[in-house]
Amino acid sequence: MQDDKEIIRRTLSGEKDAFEMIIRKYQSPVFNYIGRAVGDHQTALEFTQDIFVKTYASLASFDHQYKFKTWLFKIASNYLIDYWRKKKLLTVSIDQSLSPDDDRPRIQLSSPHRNAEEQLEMDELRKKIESALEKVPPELRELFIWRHINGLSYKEMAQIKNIPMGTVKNRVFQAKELIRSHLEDKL
Amino acid sequence: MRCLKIHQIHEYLENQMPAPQKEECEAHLQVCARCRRLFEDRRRFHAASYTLPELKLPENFALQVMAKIKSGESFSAKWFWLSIGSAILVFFLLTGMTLVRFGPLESWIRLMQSFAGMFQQGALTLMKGLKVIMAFFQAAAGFINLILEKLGSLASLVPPETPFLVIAVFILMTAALILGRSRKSSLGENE
Repeated sequence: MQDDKEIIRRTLSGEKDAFEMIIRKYQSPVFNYIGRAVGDHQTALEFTQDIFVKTYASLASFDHQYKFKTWLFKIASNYLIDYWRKKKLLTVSIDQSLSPDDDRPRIQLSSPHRNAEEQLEMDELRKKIESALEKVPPELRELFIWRHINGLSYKEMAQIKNIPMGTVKNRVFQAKELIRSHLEDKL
Repeated sequence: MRCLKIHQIHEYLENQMPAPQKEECEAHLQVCARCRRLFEDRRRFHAASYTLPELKLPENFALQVMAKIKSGESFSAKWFWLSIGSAILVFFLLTGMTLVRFGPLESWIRLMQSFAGMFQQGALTLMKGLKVIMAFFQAAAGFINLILEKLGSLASLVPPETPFLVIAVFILMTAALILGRSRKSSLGENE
């Protein structure tokens, strides 16, 4: 697959169809982010379309010293902030940050004794997480999605939101515990 | 090691914990049932949350977006040409209306008349401006005359030989200046 910056250069030099490669590469991460954030399939489809159209329109202003993925998620995040602002949703308080340490999510998912029963239990848990996610404040939800669904690193998330990495970690932690508390409510 | 804090469990599960601390953590989990329960709970949560099902997009999504991008571009291009076309249309419409209303010859005459009117108006404005300038100069001349009259009355107080003295002083000063300069230049040549 071609480098993002090369595709952008081609698009800007008049080869407009090259942008389709960018869409194909990032459509799923953006749609999964937006879909989980707004919780409605049709709205998510419209928003994702708009985000790509917006990205195309402002492509000339892309600063090549940054990663395209980070820039794209920033556009998507700002788009959602506008949406949430229009819906007049509340933001959340921010606790003190943890020590900065960055890495991509590499969790120990495998359980030594996985069986069909546990698989069923997992599916059930996933459904509960999905519905609990809707109850989490947008700012925390967004970071949780980026980390757990889009697989962004804490560093990337900090760059997109323009906040310290420790703050990002702390908010992701808050989001996880909040979702977990909603799961407990359901039990 | 003390009992694990919740954020430490998350750090462990996300592989964010330094190796020595991780070992301590594992050793503690071997002996503490409470922490083991908490850990197992978060492990299951992590395992589920990191493997949430992917939301599927329509097959032709990228093509749809590209079509939207292109239609947006053609829309703005369309608007550009539409506005140019409208301007041309308005121009011809107005010209046509004038021709129909007055006829070709009459419209030309009217055009010339309007030009003549403009020139006439311009000349009148210019004349008015000149009158103002003339009035200004007349006032200035009157003021200068008044000053000269005053000076004339002052002249009676001055002795009659004064002008000759002034002229003599002026000639002497000029001569001294010329001599001084020629001397300076000759010194410069010698150096």
